[in-house]
Amino acid sequence: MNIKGHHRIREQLAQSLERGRTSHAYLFSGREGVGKRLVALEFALAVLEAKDQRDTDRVLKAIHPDFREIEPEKSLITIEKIRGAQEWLSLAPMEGRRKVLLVNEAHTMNREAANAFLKSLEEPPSSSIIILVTSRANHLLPTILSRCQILRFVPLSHREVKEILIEKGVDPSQAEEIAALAQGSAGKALDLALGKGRELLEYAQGLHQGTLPPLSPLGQRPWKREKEEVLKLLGLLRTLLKRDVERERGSSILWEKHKLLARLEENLYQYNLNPQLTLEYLELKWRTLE
Amino acid sequence: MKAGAVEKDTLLGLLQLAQGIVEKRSLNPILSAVVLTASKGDLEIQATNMEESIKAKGSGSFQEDLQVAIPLNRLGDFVKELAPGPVNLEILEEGNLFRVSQGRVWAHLPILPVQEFPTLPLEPDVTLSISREGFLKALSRTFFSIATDSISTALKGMFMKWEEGKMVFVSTDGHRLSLVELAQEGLGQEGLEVIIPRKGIQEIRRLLERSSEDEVRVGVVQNHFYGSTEEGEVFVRLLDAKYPSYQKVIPQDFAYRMVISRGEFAKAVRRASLFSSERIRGVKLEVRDSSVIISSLSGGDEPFSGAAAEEMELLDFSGGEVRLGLNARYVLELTAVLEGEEVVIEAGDPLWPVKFTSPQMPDYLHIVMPLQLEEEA
Repeated sequence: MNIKGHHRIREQLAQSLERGRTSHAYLFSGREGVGKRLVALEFALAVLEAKDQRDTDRVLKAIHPDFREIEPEKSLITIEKIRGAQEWLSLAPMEGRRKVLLVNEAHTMNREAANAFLKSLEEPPSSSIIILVTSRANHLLPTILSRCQILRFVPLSHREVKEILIEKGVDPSQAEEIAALAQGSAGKALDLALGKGRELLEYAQGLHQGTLPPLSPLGQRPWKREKEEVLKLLGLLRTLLKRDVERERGSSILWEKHKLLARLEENLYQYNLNPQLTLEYLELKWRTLE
Repeated sequence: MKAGAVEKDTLLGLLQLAQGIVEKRSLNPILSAVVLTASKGDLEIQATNMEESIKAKGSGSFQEDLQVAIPLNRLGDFVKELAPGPVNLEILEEGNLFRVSQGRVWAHLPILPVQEFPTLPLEPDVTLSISREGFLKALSRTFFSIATDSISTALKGMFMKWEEGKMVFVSTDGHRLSLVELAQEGLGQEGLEVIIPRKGIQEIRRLLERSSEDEVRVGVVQNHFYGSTEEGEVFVRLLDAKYPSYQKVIPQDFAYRMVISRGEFAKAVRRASLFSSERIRGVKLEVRDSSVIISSLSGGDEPFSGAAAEEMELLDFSGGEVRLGLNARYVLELTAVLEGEEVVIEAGDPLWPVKFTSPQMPDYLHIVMPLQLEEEA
């Protein structure tokens, strides 16, 4: 597997395995899109002693009998999923000496699921290793945190993100610009360069540079936006502003714009604002601040 | 083109064995497959549901070796409808299809990626040849007290230990415990301890019950318990847990000992429990002189819905006062597996574990935790 960064963590995991001193449960904590799951998969392959391409493929497709991966459905890991995983944990390994359970976005376990899961962490089956992956460790129960060895993943460097983009075929000059906005997240960078985020980035850049065509007389953009997208957009604008601040040392206009973003973000999180209207309000307000 | 033929009845028999294991619906399509392997002219099948797996062989005529994974249910259902006689099996090179044919009847089935099929354990190097009847009896005498619903993983299976000269079988659900010691020579793996899941025990029993051999093979290999008959081999994945130390709950000192007729006792308990509260289905035993009174137990907070009692002669008695509450279902499940006409009941304090034995079964004992009688609460 081609993984960038996190050398210290990967080294530490490899050594603990070599010395037979692995933990029963790990928590991989860090920002989204920095490669936590990839490192977890790399570690799982090592734990399972994957010996050929067939083993590797079966782990990556999550059909290896001694590997299981669970993730949220509709932003939630339910108690049924946890119970299913616990049934699976109760059996001895089928092919090898160990099993690995990988729980993605572990913070999406609801209270019920998390409490049920505690049992597995308290009395871990001897042959299994559990890896929890989360970008919001502070949303996990303290009782869960205290039963895991926590590994903190730092953001990737600008150079690492840029390399990843270039490897995926992004033009180097564009890669430079996007890497600067991605805050050390390869996932975010790839989304901005090649995924759905691309359109958002163009919009944010247009608004920021004042090159966006004016709104139609009715004040509407012809596309619909989801709440998540508007939040993403606000984040992008904030990153762009931050760079201005570093260059220009805080003009009052920048400060006003920043306050506007912060207020909208707060309101979107707290109240059920209409994302489309929020976006239109932002655009109109932003232009008055130019 | 790789091709060969096998008798319909042989093929159908193999496929039906696989159908007994494979789940109808599985998230992973490869688990709905049967793997057919032709080698040295024979045909072997493999199937698994990840908990239990089966391998079986039949004779056929194959010029070349082949291995494919085919959706089991379609194949099985089709073969079942064919006429007796040879069935041709071949891989069609052009379309990655599997062709099953007989005379002018044919079917094409998709081939599933066999490399995604789990690797099943190999047959153990050392297996133990054991009396089929003795082993089945040991299983049925412990099976009923395996926990069906417990927070403890270990209790969801049967504990099996190989010691010098004997195999020990234990099951408990926390309220009762069964223990069998089966004398057995030639235990190659002394000190071995495993926990076999309840469902897996059922598969092993099913395999052995269909067999007509006097001796069958059992063993442990790569985290699996293994049973083998002339028909095939079943592998059951073990539970990954540590069995609690059960010796502690086996009472050694007794305040009384009563001997009672097994058949009469079961009937009396069944009759009395008809009037017991639905929730517990308890019965009460009280000894007076040389007889025991068995009566229904009703919950104190429920409206009166009847009561029943009967008196039975004891075959033998020694010791002091007896006032004992028992769960009727536990008693009935136990008396169903006991052999011989007599049941021996021994206990100490009213709330201590009660020991049941049969003089005709020196290698079996059963322990039940008594119910707390209300007067003592």
